[in-house]
Amino acid sequence: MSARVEESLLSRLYQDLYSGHNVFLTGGSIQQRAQLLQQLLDPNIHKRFLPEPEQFLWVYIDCARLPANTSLTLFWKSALHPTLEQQNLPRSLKPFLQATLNSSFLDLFDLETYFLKLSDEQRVQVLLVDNLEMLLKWPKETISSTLSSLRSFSSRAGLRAIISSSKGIETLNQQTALLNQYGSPFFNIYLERRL
Amino acid sequence: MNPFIPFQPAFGANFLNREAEQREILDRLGMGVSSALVGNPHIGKTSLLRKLADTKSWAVYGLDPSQYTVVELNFELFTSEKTPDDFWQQICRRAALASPQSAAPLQPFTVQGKKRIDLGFLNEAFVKIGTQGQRVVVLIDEFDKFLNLPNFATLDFVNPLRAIASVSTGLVLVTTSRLSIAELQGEINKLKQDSQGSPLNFLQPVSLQGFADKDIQQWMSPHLPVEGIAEARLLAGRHPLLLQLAGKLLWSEKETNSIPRWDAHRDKFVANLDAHFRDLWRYLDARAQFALVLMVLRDLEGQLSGKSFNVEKVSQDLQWFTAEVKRLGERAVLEKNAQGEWVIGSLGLRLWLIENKIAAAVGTPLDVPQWLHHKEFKLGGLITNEEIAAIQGFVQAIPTDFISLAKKALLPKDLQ
Repeated sequence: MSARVEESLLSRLYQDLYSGHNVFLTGGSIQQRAQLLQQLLDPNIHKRFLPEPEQFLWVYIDCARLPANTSLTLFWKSALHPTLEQQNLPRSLKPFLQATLNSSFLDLFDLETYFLKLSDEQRVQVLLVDNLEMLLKWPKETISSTLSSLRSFSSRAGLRAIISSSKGIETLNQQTALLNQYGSPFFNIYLERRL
Repeated sequence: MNPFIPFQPAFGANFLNREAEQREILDRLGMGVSSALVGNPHIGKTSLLRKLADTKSWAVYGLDPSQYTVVELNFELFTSEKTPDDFWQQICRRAALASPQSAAPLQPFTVQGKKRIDLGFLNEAFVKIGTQGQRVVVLIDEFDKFLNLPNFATLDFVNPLRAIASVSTGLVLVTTSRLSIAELQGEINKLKQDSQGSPLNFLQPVSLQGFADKDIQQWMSPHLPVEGIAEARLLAGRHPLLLQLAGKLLWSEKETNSIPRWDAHRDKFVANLDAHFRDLWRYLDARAQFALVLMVLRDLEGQLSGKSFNVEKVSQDLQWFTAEVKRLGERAVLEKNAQGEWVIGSLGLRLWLIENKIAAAVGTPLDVPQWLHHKEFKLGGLITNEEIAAIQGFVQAIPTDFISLAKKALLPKDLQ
């Protein structure tokens, strides 16, 4: 990717996010996608592209760095823990999020409440997920519950996801179909963008 | 900012009409009757469910919002270790939190750590709420996902759900699912060999259709000129997701180019919808899939190049599939044209079918049963030898440069 292409792609991705999309990035190399996600995290770039950067709370998780026996609880705790240190997390929500993340078994309904309360405070959590295809090596129950909850949260207010994967939406939908035989496929709420 | 947001539930100005469906559901709700919103992918089930959650508009339909406590649940958040007790506990907690007074009878079932719910007492609590002139309305998104969960895909979950929602007027459900009630019941009956009952027939179905032309015009006209709306309608038919995506691409074109090329995004439109169309395709049975292929061929009849492609019998052959065509219409895959005939309304879907389900069969000596097998049509008695012979006849007539001819032929005459 040239610097110019990166600039226009960044601009487009921030626009996607600002208008309420969840985005699925595929194509390009692992390094290109990782670099793009790191740029998306950069607060200096936020100021250039986002009208109200303080509205967004950014967190990043790399599925390649999580162990093969990752649980649903570990995924969400690893993903959201950095939020507790962020200045723009509304004070009223910090104890609630802390208590939710500190419990030994994460309750998805509590997490749903957190995202909805965040939305009431005019904030959006942005979750950048790198190397999502690595999740296919996790226990089946973790794959299913992680992807179900990710879909559920990000189709409501309060959470937006930008996912990077070497495999495209249709491939992942097919490869997870047996875990999800009824209802919507896990990835049908994402706008697919190819690098 | 681009006003069109495909792939997300619609709200605000992007939520269109659905007046009749809201009235139907809320009328039933007033009588204590539960509803099931049934429809194909991205037809707007979740959007309508979220709209219903906003009780402020209910007064328009003659309901007093103060008599209703609304609880939203999504079956995607139930993991495999969850049980029906967790389901009931969530409902009770949320209702008690939203309306501490009206839902007070549910308070005993909200205690953390109390795992077993006595369903007899729970039923009595909902009866009590009903006799006080109150109702708890539970909006359940992705209802069919309960079949993915071992503790829920059982009559021990479905039967009490039916009993409580039917007996007490204090509990009303509105669910969303891709599967119809009959299909859901079929799946439940598979779970237990001796079960042939209809445990879900307390849910009255509501099917969602595509949008009306006047609503599409009203929605898009602040954002696109007449030519842009015409192109969006051509690409998308009346399907909500397809219209949102067409709108997004065409709005960008308008913002980027002083002289917009409205037809410049067709390939991108189809590519962006590939996963959606595959999802839709998987949900159709073999005969419905075949009916769609026949409809595309019918649309092309006589248009490709008269001499080399003439499939006069296709329309006649479609009569074998009358039931499938009707069902595809009811599920908003097809729409009615000005003559009242069922047609594939979206050029995008037609192009996708041509490229993915027909074109690969063209240009080689054809063994139709083999082709059907490769094209995922399951023969098992669904298609007769007579039908196969007829198909063999018209497929052989398809010219080898089929895709380019077909793309051109599918456009309105003034664009060819």
